[in-house]
Amino acid sequence: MTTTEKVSSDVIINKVLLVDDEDDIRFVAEISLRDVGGLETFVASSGPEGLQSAEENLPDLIVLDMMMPGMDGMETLRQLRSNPATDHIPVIFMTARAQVHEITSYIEAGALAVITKPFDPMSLHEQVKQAAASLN
Amino acid sequence: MAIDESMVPELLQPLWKERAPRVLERIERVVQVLRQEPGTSREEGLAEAHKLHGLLGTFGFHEGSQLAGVAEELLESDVVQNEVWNDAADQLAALHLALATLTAPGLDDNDRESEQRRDH
Repeated sequence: MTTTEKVSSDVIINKVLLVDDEDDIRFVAEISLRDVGGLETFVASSGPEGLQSAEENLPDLIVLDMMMPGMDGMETLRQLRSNPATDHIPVIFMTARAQVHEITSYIEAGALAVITKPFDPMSLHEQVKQAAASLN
Repeated sequence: MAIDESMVPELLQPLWKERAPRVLERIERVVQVLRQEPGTSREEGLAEAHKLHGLLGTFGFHEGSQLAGVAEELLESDVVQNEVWNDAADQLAALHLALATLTAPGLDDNDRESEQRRDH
């Protein structure tokens, strides 16, 4: 089921891209975003796959794992920002490494927000929508 | 360790049943690394502990997630294997037992309690 969620007067979240190398996390997050949150959800299992999906599907927001083999979340974000087709898409980092200095560095790098793992599958979609609302 | 099925959100229970064997393998691997068994590597243990840290709590097993986080910190630190590593291994082994008992096919709640009492 796909619905359009209006989270504020200007921010509409409909399509989300989830990038995580870990199968189980992808499965759980997809259930949360799609089935609980009613968002159209695309998934990718690596940075390069995420870049391709972002360009093809133009999601309203990307939830991006930080620690991935090969291209990590930070490099993926850099490449998203260097592509005119994807440079405007807000990115939320999802990570188990979320000490204050780490969160600060993620935000300074251009992340909209940081969601810590483990996350609550029943409220992940709300966290994503709240972060999107903060764009206003 | 107190573990029961209600910890897993209802929506995730089918997925948990499907993925539990792989999660158990991962916990076992981290235990082997912490005990420095032959054929194990610290890097592999660190990667598995990191994934378990993020994953177990997402399935509702928050205490297990914390234990995996401790293992991750130990394996990432400069500390060489010591008593602390053995303690962490023992706690993860107890988690493994509790989760394995929970997911064992054909057991009802009474059977599971009996198994846990016997193994402790």
